[in-house]
Amino acid sequence: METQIDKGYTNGRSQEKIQNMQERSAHELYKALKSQRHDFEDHLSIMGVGELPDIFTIFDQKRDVAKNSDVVEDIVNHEVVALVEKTSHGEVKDHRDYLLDEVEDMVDLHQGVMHYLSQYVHIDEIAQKSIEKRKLTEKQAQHVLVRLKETMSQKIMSDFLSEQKQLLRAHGFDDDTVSEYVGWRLSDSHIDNPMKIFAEKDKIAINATKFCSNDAMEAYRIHLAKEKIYSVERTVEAPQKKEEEIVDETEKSMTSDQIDRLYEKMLGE
Amino acid sequence: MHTHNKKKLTALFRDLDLGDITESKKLFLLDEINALLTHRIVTKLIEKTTDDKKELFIDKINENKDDPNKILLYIDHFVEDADKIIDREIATYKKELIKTVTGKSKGK
Repeated sequence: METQIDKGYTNGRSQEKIQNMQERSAHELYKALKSQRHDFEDHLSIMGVGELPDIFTIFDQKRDVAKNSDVVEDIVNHEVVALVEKTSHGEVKDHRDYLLDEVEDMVDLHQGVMHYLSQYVHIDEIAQKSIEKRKLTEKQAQHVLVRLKETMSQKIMSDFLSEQKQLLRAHGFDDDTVSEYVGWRLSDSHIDNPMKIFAEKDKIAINATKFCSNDAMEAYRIHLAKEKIYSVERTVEAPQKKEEEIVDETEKSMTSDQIDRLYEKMLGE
Repeated sequence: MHTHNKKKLTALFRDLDLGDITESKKLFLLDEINALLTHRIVTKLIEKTTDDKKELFIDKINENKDDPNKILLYIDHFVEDADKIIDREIATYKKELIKTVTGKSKGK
């Protein structure tokens, strides 16, 4: 008959056996893990990643913590600001795209432009009414229409670009970065923009198909094709004296009365 | 050695059929398990990062070796759905671990 001592001895032996077996398994597992880790280290090293801290444990500990806590936000903001500061001093130029993405989130770039464009797409209609009212000759009307469109285009571009530059500079970007950003912003490749303004060498065009009528768009397309092509430099940096005066007139939203006064000025030339 | 959740530790080693090894060996093994998991996760996350952000993401990982918390923030910043990717990788890894040790599939 098996005694309690025998039972205890048997249990102890089998427990010891299990433990030994498990420790052998654990050792095998340890070797396998180590070998796999070396493989991953090599792979990461090729990608340019050096030694890694134990991110998983920290991740695991933090999983229950709300991600958008103030502390987390503060750290993120601090890092972003630090990166922006570095970039403005030209230390990490390669990171510019990332930084500009950050700025994109901070500023609403579309609202102002849409406002300007909404004025522009009605310019044909407004100009036509004014021409009819004044009984201009066909030649005069053509001249006035062209000048009105030119003035309005310049104002749209000028306001748009200066708004962008101001915002970017306010976020600590240097002039080179700002210029590059504006170029990118105006490029055709920026497909997310509901209104695409694109610059190509000395040409600027506005594609507003998403929020203006087909008729207005067609009129503008014809106008661009026939008439005016504006350079970024000219519209932003160094307008002619007469144009400056005209732009002054259009600093606020243009009403038909204001356009009428603008006519007076242009017809008086 | 890191502080680990006792319940999780127990559950993991029970799933691995290694519940009877000594505590010190468990912790020793766990460090290796975590290290490999970290490498697997980081590799997966880098692969999932868009090409234009990959280089900067790697820079941020390298720059913040002493501050894993920041790396976690950058992971969230650079990788879309990072949590899901990490959770999937953990689940896959756990299945593989169990299979390696016990020769059969179990666990989540």
